[in-house]
Amino acid sequence: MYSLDSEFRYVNFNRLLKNMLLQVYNIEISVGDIVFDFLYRDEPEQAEEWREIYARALNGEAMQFVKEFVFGRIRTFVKFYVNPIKEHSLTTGLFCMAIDITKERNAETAIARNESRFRALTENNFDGIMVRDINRSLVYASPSMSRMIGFSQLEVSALTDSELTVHEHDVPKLKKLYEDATRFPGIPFGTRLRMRHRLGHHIWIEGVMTNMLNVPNVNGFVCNFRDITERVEVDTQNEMISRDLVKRNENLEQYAYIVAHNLRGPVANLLGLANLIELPSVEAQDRERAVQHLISSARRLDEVIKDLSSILQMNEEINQHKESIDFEELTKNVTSSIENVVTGKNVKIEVDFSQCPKIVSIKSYLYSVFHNLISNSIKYRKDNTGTVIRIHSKSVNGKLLLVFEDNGLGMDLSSYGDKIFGLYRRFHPFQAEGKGMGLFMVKTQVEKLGGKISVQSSVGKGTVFTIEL
Amino acid sequence: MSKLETGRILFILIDDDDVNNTISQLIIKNAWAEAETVTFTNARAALEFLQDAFTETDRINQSGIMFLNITMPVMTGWEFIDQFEKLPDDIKTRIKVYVLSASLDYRDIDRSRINKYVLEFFPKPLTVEIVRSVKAKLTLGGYE
Repeated sequence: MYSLDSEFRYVNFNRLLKNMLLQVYNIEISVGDIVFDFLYRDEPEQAEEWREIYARALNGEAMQFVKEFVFGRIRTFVKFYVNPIKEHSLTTGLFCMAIDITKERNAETAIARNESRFRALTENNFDGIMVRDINRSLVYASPSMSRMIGFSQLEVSALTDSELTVHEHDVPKLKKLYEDATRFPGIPFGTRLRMRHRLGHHIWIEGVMTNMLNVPNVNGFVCNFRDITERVEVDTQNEMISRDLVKRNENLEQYAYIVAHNLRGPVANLLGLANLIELPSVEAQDRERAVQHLISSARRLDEVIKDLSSILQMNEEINQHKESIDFEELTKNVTSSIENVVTGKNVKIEVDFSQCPKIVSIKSYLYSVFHNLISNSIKYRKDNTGTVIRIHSKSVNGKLLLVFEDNGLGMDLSSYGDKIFGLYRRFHPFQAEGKGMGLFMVKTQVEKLGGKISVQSSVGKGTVFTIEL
Repeated sequence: MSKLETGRILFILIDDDDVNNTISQLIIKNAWAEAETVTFTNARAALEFLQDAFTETDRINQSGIMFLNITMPVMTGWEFIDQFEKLPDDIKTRIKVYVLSASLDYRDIDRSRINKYVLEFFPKPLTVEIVRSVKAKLTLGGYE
């Protein structure tokens, strides 16, 4: 604090000013010194500037300004007040104050810097940020968020609530989220849901909602989230891959089972028969029997190998294209292929496909299904007097049903249950023909077509297979 | 027919595969000519045989060696063993049960090992050596 006369000489000054000038300029001031004289030596421009300021004040203008002083690395901001001292409308001197405002200045700068840093964070962040008020209306949406759902940066502020909807299946999730957040202020609740994109599709987002209604300057539900659509897609794909792998593994186990049980059987027979033939003590007629069996065992081995390869092929065939298949035509093809089996056995095949004459499906599968079921009915007929196989199609609840009905031997399902569709399971003790492959194939193929098969049967009455496609 | 110390032995062959039964039968015939064999392609029929024929007077003191297959329709080898357990002790103690299976499945082999009625697991086919080894065990061990 200091005062000057009309010639800019110190009238008085306080200790603070004296010490400051001593410290900064290494100059000791005394009353009567011209205030800017010392500046002429090192900073003449500064001296001129000050002369002008004081001159204007002397003309009656009250002045207020901030000057920045740099000494080495230290910046100091000083606010000056230069006021004229008036006596009877005549300016007789100046009353001046210099206040160090460096601290305040720095604080202001820090706030500004924080503000822009915050902006940079929210606006350039990959994550979306949104604030909703107590009525759940949008208060703030970060540009990143609008980008996520397909709006430009300019459109952020104009986003309406109707443009910010979630997938209908996720509405309950969102409701629950608001309820949880409302109940526990300050605690973030996580969720994963689908948000509607501007173009109509949905994106997967994952994030947290925190109730900050009671936090001053926020007063809302704060949501931070990110777009995880890609990740969800990858996850879904991975899930499909692991399901496929599990299925393949099951198949491998099935093959291992076939190798352990069914390939080994005929091979063991071949070995046993060979042993017998080599035995010196074996009688001629027994040796002859062994040779006969050798041939039949080799044939059986061949059949198991063929079965195996057809199961393996079936797994490749799923990529086959679908086509329109006429049931009546299919039945004709199947029956003509097994004509030699049908002939002489007095088998009648009655069909009624009037309700659903056609289906779009994989032809080779359906052919195999018809072939196996019709062959089974013939194989397990009661006798050669009046075997009837009835096949019909119908539509029930949007599903196509194929029903295969016969009046054959039938089975006691109470003791076999689901096992009848198992590979190499045979249930007719007196029918050596069956090798336990047919129904396994039928079930596998029906399931590959996305359908289901069920069976009803009673001993002596017949069997009904129902396929739902 | 010369008498053995163990009496006239009866081989009971249970396998739905007829060819295998024939092989076993012929192997036994060549390895132990004096032995008698019966074959069953259905385990349930074998069970009925044990309950009825095996207790008739002419077989009342007869001992049996059984070769039992596991994977069979109608009644599996394990289902047969479950029923076998319910038979009277005087029948059970006269029969030595062996599993003769084409299976290479370790589960079948392990199960044979822990089953109290199964003495041993043999992989098919039956050989002269197997018949001799079960015969040796019979002579050495005698009957309880």
